[in-house]
Amino acid sequence: MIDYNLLFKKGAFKLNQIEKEKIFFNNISKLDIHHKKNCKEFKLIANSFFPKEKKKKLEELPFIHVRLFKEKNLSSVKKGTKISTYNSSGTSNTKLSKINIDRFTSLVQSKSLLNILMTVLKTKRKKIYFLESEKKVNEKYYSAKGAAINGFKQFADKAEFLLDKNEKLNFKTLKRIKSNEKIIFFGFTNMVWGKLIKTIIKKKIKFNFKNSILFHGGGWKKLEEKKIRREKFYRLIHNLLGINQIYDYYGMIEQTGSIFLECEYGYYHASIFSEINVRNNKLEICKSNQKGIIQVSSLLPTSYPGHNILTEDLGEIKGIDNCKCGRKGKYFKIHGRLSQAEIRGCSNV
Amino acid sequence: MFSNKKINIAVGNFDLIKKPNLIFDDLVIEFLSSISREILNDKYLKIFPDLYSYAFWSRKSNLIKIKKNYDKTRIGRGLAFHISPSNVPMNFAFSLALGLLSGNSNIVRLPSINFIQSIELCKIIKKKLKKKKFQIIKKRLCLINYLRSDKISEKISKYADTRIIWGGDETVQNFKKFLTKPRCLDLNFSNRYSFSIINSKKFNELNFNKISNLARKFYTDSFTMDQNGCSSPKAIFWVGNVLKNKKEFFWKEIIKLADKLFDLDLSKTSAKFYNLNKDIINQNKSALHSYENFKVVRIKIKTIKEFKSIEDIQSGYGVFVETNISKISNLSDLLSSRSQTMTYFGYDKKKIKNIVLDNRFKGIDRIVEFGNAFNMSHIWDGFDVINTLSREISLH
Repeated sequence: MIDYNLLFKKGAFKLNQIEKEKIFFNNISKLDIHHKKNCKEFKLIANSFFPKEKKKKLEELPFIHVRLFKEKNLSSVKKGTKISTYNSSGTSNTKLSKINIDRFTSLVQSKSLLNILMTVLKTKRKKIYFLESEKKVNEKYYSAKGAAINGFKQFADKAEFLLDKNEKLNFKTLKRIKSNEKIIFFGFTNMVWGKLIKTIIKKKIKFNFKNSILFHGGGWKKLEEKKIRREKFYRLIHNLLGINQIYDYYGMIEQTGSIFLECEYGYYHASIFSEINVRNNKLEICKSNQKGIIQVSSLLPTSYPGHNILTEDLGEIKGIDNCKCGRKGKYFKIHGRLSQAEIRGCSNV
Repeated sequence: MFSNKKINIAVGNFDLIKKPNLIFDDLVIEFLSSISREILNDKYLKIFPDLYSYAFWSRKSNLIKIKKNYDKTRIGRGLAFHISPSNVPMNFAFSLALGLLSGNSNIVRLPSINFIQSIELCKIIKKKLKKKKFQIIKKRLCLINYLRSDKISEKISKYADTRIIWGGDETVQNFKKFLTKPRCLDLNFSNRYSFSIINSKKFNELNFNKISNLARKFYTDSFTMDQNGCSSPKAIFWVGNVLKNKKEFFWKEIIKLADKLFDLDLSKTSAKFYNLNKDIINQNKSALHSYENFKVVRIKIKTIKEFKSIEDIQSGYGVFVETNISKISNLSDLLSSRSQTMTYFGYDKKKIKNIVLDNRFKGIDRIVEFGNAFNMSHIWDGFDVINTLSREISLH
């Protein structure tokens, strides 16, 4: 259906917006048809909400609300296809997302992630250290956590976990790492802060992993609550661990693989596998520098209709093709989560 | 009796009169109307339409008019416990007034959200209660708030002779769990939905100016409370053949108003889009949704047969289902007992009531002219609140 190998060859951030849009629209249109054909729910929404005239732009294609994955079990595979259902790691009082991933989607996700991250990793590394407890990860294999760790494992020959079964930092493992080793660290943003940085500050030790690279993702909510900004966070990581390369990413279980990588200048970038749009309160497309609701599109989901979704995140496009980091395409900022709508009316909340 | 650290008493205290009062007690009417006067004379308070409309309802002349409908020898039940919805600021005032007028002592749980108009009203009530002549009334009411607590609700429920439970299905079911006195009578306000009917023939005769006025009324009915109120119309039925250009003009006027007045913030946009997604799937049918700016979404359904039910449409924030029907009685199979308000244009209300009765409709408790969907009344949701909250002593 989609020639993914061609996309891999083009490079994740090399095409300018005009070239990219051509390829992207052509391919996502195929996904649009595919999901209409194979997912009843998607078809219902597409046919109801989006007039049938021929679509010319990505902006006109049908999209669905991300929360729908919590309410419904959406899938676009033929009966009998083997799928794994991933769940978002929500808190106990919110429903979990259910994402149905078949082998093909899973492979494409892994390869795309590789394609995106190799732009900064350049080569495979000897080791990756996860700021997780192996026990917890194994318990939650089919979760956002599990999916992320699985995706990142492929970048190193060997994986190790930095937290013990009680989710405490294992100093012995950390101390064993040689300072000049070319390794990868991966952790969720709140874990990097809470489990690593805070513990190291308390113990008053410093490291110098100058050749290592740190990836983190999952959102800044917990850090923002503590009023810790990106600059301070990165400075602490650099000063305490000696890490020079730190990359955040914006991603979600509904679009595993096609993550939006943060560049050296603090902007998230859409790759060839994904696109970003921002919509206002009338669901119209916002111009650059206008805040709105983030819509994410991805070429990877074939086994479930997650290729075009309206998120619950706020953001704004900051520019196209002209980021100082040299990556082409759209780049953007995120402004946290939408607050819950205040419900007026006769029902109690 | 109920003292608890977690209960915050806003007005009055728990030392209430145990004996019931006669209905429409003169002092009660004087008390309520003096509050009404105070509100109506306050320039600043006019910015709260709901407070103003409560005050208008509780004018002395209106209360006396209502009184005339009742047998003066009715008497209250005793202690009334009111659970007001957390997000309708003035509902508690209305509930309390009816509790007093029907001869009860009242414990009212205030909305959990501190609305300015609720606070202002409490201040006025407090001020009036300081007057010597209202000292007895002071022992008839206690306004409290507490964070959702089954323990407290259960304790007060135990003493209540009647409970007035607003807040929809979930709250009603929750309060049913608590043990009450065997004779305790509950007035339950569960989830309801509402819709509109338009007499196409009469509508076609309107000039554009009049259509514009009608649109304004419909806008008020729909967008008060962001279309999430139980009386907010969610569907429009055009009865008979409507002229297309006039119908489209009607909608254009609504869109214009919504564009100017309806504050659809990003959170509401998201909730609205999500609800629409869910509704479409639950209906298991595609229907053409058309919207010019998403503030007003129209779901056009070809015939009434394609309609599963109105209550499945939860969208709110400006979503309307519309279809044509040939006569009002066509609605009889579609409407469930949850249907509450039918706002109408171009009919004689008595005739509609007869159609509803003749066809044995399961629902419809209110038949209201366009623009008055949220008007308060002592008859609500099919209950005569005064009669329900009081006793009749029968003579044989």
